[in-house]
Order: sequence, then C-alpha cells, then structure tokens
Amino acid sequence: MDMTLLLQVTLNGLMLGMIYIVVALGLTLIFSIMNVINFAHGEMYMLGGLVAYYFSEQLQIPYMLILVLAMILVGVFGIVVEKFFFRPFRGELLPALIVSLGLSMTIQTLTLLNFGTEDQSVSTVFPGMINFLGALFSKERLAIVITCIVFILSLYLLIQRSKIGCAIRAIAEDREAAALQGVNIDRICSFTFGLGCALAAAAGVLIAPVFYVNPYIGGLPLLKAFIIIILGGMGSLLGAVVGGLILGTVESFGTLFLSVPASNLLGFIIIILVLLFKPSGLFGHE
Amino acid sequence: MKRRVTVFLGFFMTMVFALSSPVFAGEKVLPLGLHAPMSGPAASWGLNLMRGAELRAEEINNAGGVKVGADIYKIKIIGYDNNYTASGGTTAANKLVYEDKVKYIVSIGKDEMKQTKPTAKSLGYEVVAEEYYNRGTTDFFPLLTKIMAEKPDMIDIDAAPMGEGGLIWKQLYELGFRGVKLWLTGSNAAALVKIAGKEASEEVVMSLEGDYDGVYATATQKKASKKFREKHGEPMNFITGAAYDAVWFLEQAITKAKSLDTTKVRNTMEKMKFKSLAGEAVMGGEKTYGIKHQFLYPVVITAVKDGKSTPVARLKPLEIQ
Repeated sequence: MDMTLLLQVTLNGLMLGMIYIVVALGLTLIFSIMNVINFAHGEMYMLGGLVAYYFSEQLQIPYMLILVLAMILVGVFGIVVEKFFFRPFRGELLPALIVSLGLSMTIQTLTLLNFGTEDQSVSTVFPGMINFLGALFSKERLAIVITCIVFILSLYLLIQRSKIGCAIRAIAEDREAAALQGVNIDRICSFTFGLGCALAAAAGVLIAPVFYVNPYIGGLPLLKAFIIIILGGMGSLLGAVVGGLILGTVESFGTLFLSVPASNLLGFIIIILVLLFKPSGLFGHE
Repeated sequence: MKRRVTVFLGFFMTMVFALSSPVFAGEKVLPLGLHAPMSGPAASWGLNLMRGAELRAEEINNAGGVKVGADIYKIKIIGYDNNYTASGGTTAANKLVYEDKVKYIVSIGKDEMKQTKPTAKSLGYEVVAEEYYNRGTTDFFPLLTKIMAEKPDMIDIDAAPMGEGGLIWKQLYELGFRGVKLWLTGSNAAALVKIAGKEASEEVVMSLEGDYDGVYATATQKKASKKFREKHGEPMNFITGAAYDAVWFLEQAITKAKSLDTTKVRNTMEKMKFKSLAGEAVMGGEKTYGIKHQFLYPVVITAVKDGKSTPVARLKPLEIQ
C-alpha cells in the first residue's frame, strides 16, 4: 500500500484521537473523584465552541485569549452546576446520571432557543497546509495536536506534582481517608468538576474553526469520550490518553479499509469486547 | 466540463391512501401535511420547505381556495419536524395520518444516488468511489483520504446538507483536491463560503440554488420571489420553490380531478402537465425508481465564482424538451 496514504491516515487518526482525549480527560477526571457519569459533558464542549464563535466572530478577540476565556467561563459554569445539581448526588451513580441527562437536554434546548439551528463557522486562525512526506495536514490541525499535547502534559503535571493534584488523587483513592487527612472534599470536587468542564470547553474552542458550531455538536465527542474511557478504564487519565489514540487510529484505518458507518461500529465493538473480557478497561482498577 | 442534467428532483409528494376524511365534512378545510427536518444539521431545508408551502397556500386561500367540483376548500398546512431520521419520519407521518387525518403530505426525498451514478456512467464517466457517512459527521478527513486515493477528477457530494457539505469541500481542499466540484443538493453559496472559505468554495457547481431573481428566472419565479422576500427578507431558493410548487401541483391536480379522492388525484397527476415556477412540469422517474412520481421541471445550475453564486445554465429535463 502507498506509504503516503498510510501516513495520511495515521495523521488523521492522531488528530481525531487528540480531540477525543481532551474531551475524555475531563469526563474521566470527574468520574474518578465524584463517581458521576456526566452526560452534560458534551454540552460543555458545545459551549466552548459557542464562546469561540461569539468572541472570535462578533468581538474579534485573539484566539489564544478566547481559549483561556472559554475555559474560565465554562469552568466557572461547571463549578456552579456541580454545586447545585451534582453535589446533592455525589457518589450516587444513577440519580447523578439522570440529573446530567436532564441538564444536557436543558442546556441544548436553551442554546437552540438563543442561538438558532444554523451552523456557524469560526474563521481559521492558522490557514494553509503542511506537506509532510507527501501527506497533507492543515496548519490548524497541527496547532490542535500541539495544543492538546500541552493540555495533556499540563494536566499530568497538575495531577502528579501539585498539592491540589495530590488531593484529587487522594479523593479518587479513598474519599473518607482523604477527608480524615484534612482534604476539603467539597472544594476539590468543585475544582475538579470545573477543570473537567474547562477541558471540554478547550476542545470545543480548538475544534470550532476546523468544523462548525451549532447546539448539537456536543453529542458525537461525548459518545467517543465514553468509548475511550470504557476502553482505557473509567477514571484513568493514562487510559483516556491511550484509549483516545487507539480509537482515533482504529476509526481512521477502519474508514480506509471498510467504510464510515462500519468504522463507527468499530468503537462499539471495542466496548463490547472490553466489557466482556476486561470490564475494568486497559488501565482501570477492578 | 460536461454538465449533468438533474432530471429528477429531491422532492416528492406522498399520497396517503386514507379511506375516510372526517376533517373535511362541512368545514371546507383541506389539511396538507408537511414533514421535514426542522432541527439538527438539515434544519434549514425543513424550515424553508415550510415557508415555501405556506406562501403558496396563502396565495391559493386569498384567491378563494381550491375548487373541488362545486365545493371550495381552504388549505391548512400542518408541519412536523422529522429530525432527518427514519424514526422521526415515521412518527411525523403517523401523526399526520392518524391524528391530523391528512390525505396529502409534502416531504423531502432522498436516494439521489440511484439516479446520479447511472447518469454519470451514461455520460462516459467511471465511478471510482462511492462512499456514505453518518449524519452528524464533522471530520471527513478519513473518508476523503480514501476517496482521494482513487485520484478522482470530479467529486459530487450529492445529498450532503449545508453544514456537512461545507465541511466536505473545506476538507477536500485541504487534502489537495482541485478537480470538478459538484453538489447536487447545494443550495446556498453564501453559507458555503462562510463554512468552507472562499478558496475551497470556488467553482462548486450546485443544482438547488436556483436563480429566482436572476437572468434565468421566469416571470413567475420573480413574482413569487418578490413576495417571499417581502415576507422573509430573503429571495426564494430551490427548497422554498419546490415546496411552493408541491402545493401548487396538488391544487392543479385536485381541481382537474374534481375530487379529493387520493387515487383519482394520483391518476390525474401521472398523466397531466403542470404549471410550475420554473415553467412546464410533468411526473417521471419510473425508470429509476419504478414509479412515475418524481416531478420534473427546469432547473438553473449555478457555480460559485469569486465567492458568489453565478448562474451557469437553465436546463430542462429530457421529458419536457
């Protein structure tokens, strides 16, 4: 097979995987300490895209600043949402899941009423293409991959090296023991939920110029994020990274050798196989 | 460049063979069902469909109504969102038939590939790739990489809706495609340029944009478009025009059949010639779809030039040459 084609398909998979990872990291982070499966996570991604559209197209603010602003705005929104909607159900999987479903529909409908159904585009920040050994890659996609790697490494450092990261890991390990050691559970949960939402918003901002923005864009990345965290292991950050790269590559090559619908099926086949043979995922705890 | 005549249209009227019609008794109201995508990626199609149908219904009602023998009926459009899914379409159709008791439904058609592929082959083209994707897809790079590997000279993205179509052209441009660009259901050059950018949109040939105010527009099209613009602040396009025509066709067929009986109206439709915004129209499509229920009428082909829609030609279906 043509090497250029293989390289192109691999690069496509890498780009897909990176975006999936950033969305999945937030989702798995929230699950790891709150035991909440947040169906409204896709809406945080969508809100990020929306902020990017308004700030970029209406107010012409520099894009890197928009990225920071969107993360702060959606992160704060996440903190409010956590306090009023998820805190009463912390640790209770089913009620929290139903709340998140309701929240997802509410945010989507409110956005629909205010934003309309039309697809809105965000002007590209890095126009032009890069020819890498015959394979083509747009500069904006390359920028996304680099930014995503920065996010992944920053989150890793935050979780592994910082005091707050230590508290997050402690809560994920054993909430009661962490509380006994003086960790403020409410504050850390609030921060982590906000951080997870901010990561989803960052993915939304990054992807907005590549695709388009409308109230429905959050559904697909959320679905992919679920596949990734089941594959990588619920609550595992390393699992989300590895799972995202696997899914991106599988989908990209699946489309090449099969078709788009068949390639989309592969993700679900992976979920079934993982649940059958290794329910905890690649890096999850039993 | 060879031009492909789009001899069939994406719209059809489905007749519902209900035996009774309690709604009509004494009320003289003709409920006309409409189901189309009014939310999600193809929402603009559905909303425009509704506007076009309502405009014609209003004109008919203002002119007195539909004459059925000695009776006169006022048209009432009942519209539902079908979410652009098969299940949404079934739900909408069930509501229209069983709750609203409509006899006639205006909707949006698909399955264009049945016509596109044989037409391309008959014109001497070799079809090197035929690919489908799930609605809601945004990253077409994997799919387009596969198509590009076949080194096509021409790509037709067929029935892709506005937003997804825009992304396909954008990503094809990024992948280096510089061949002939066709978009059977392309209907809005301005929206395309907004999503895909000026370079990627250049020379995209579309068959649904219409030209209701331009050089190829008929007097009827210009008149209807003026009214539409006064009402909605924008000119008519192919979608609104097709819905307008669908209601008009129904009025003509019912008046000619002198009956609301669906079988009689259908039989009349299959044989008659219609007036449409674009000129004369007939029913056809039997060879492709096995049933003579596609409305055929002239279309204006447009191309994006310098970021703007430019009419290229007005083409008539072979059946009414």
